[in-house]
Amino acid sequence: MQAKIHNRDSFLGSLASKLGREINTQGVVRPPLPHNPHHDVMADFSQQQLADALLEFTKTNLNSLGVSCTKAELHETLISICTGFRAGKIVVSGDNRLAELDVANCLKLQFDDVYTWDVDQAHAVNIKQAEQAKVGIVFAEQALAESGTMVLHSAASHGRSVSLLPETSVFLVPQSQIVPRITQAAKVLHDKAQAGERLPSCVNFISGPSSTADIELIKVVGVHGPIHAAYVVIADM
Amino acid sequence: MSMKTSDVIFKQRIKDQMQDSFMRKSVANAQERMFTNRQLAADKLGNWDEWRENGKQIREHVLDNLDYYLHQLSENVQKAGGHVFFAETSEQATDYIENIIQEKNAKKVVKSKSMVTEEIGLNAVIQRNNCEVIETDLGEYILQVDDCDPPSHIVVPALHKNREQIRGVFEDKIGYKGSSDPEEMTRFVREHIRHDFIEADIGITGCNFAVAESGSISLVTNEGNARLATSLPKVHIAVMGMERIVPTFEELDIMVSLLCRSAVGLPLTGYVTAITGPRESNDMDGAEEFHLVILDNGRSDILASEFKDILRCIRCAACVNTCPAYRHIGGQSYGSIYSGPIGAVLSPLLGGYDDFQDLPYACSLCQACNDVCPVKIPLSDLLLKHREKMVIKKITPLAERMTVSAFNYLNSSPKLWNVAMKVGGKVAPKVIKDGKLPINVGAVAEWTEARDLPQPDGESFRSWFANRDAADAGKELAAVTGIVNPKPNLYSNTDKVEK
Repeated sequence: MQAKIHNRDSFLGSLASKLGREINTQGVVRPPLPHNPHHDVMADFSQQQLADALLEFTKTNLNSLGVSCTKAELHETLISICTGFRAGKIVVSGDNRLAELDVANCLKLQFDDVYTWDVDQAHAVNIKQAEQAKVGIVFAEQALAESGTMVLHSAASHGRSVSLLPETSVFLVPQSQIVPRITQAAKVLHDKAQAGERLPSCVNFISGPSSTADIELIKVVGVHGPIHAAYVVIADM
Repeated sequence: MSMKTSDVIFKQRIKDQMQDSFMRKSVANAQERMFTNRQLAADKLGNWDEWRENGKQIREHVLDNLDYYLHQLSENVQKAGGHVFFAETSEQATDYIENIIQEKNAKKVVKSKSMVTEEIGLNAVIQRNNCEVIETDLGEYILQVDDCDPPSHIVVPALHKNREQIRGVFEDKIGYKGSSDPEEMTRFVREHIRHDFIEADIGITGCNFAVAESGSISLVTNEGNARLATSLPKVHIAVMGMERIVPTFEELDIMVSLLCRSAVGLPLTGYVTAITGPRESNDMDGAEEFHLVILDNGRSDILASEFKDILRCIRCAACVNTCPAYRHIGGQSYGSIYSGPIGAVLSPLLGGYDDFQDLPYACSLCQACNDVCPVKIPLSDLLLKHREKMVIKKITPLAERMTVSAFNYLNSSPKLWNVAMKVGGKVAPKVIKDGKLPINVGAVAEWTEARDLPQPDGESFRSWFANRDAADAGKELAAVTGIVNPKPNLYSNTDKVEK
């Protein structure tokens, strides 16, 4: 179905007339911000310091597991994390970077039921696999040290459901991709948009497991999204 | 539910609510915690005022060029494959959404928390199509199963209920058998409605900020329900107030940073999600169809009025969490889905003075809200403006206007004023009995009803002041000012220096 815009001319016409002018659809320039405090946050941190800050925030503020390991230690680390969460079924994102790290294959040696998100399967099959999985494993584009956040970009092979439906989310992120804050992640999206690229249909900034404080303002972890989260920083990547 | 949540008159609502001691304690505790969390987060970030100034300027720039950014946004949503509907009224918005429901023959809709869909009364429209609608935010869900109890806070809608009340509601309505432990109840809801997300035909969300440069909408959430509602159903409808827009992701950074800290005291909430159009052609999940409904519903009139600044609002509730009036009367007293200072300014603008004329008076003009607002909205000034406007429009009660007119008349002539005060001084001791007047005069009636008047001694303040003992007066002045033996011509000297 052709995407449509309804009722725009009359809407904007009425808006402009209330402002006492013609509709303006061209030539507006964004004024520079009066202050730039967002560029100062953790500006002089090394990658190691950013990783430390990320993991510290994860433990203290998000009550989540955060570990750092080398590529060589990755398999062992993942097996131990999945064992800790008593994983039955595991779903792994179809992300090439996870395939290159041989994540699904290493887990298959230890766990009976490991499914990789598969673009050749039907929608319902993938969703059902993710629904039944205890653990979902994804690869983050970036991580934000200030807020303990993993940045995920959706794509055909990285379904949104992998980090959403299973009880536990495990995020892998290269240490080189840790940035101070959302400022640097927003820039990536800004640059794409300015280059005229279509953005991924879903970009998620995820900080820990799902939570709520809707009952007496008491924080409860695990509402509709995952109940647990674990971050794995790959130090030599 | 639409904007208006109660038919009971304002003062009765307040009286009723003030009886609810749990609610009052809970609101006071909540305010303290949320205020503290916000303050800690702002302090930790540092340069908070620079951040606020950035936020204010971004919002002002957008409002000044709203037609430009709405045009750009709609172009980019379309380019990403999404539909855009511009709705001047709430009926146009609900008609458009109702058409989609009918066209898809939808039987189930899952919603994530959205104030603007409350404002347009969307749920009733969905339900009249024989279609079930489930509010999936936990707070909204509690209220929905409790026969649509109105919200009392724009971020924590069920703040007025305690765990035992919630347990009771769940037991009666959804067969819950567990304890009143918040975690146990939360997990029960998780299991209870998970299937609804999978079965739903349509997911409906609000929009915290739309990003004009890419046609994206952002959702700032914690529970994961908005992610489910935008990932699993085949159709996603997002409804936004037309002012909720930023030019680019660079401004989104600033606004989200301000919003999360101001609302919950965190650098970011659990999920900040940016959705761009429907799923891409080879994506496995995400909606196949995306509709963005952009709502005016009175906002363009506000934009052209002296209340324009209120449109900078990002719905963080920092003002609600700091307001002493809200603390005492609770959110439901406002009778609007928008409570606290923001509600008292916004409700009369969107819903009219007929229904919300009392709200600008639910304020002591202490200005605490101005100081915490992340986009520097002068909320208390706007509340005062409402009062001025109602006086000019003669909306205030007749008795009040008559009292104020009489006061103005007496106050316009010093002679008349002196006579009135002398007479008043003599009459007052004869009519005030046990601290009460026989009649309560319009504008000050509530004040005189609530307080005991002192027993007058027959003299007006002015005549007492003129005749008071000069030595005593000197001592009193010295105590107040620290100046001993003030020169009688102190002030005229100052005058001369200035000249």
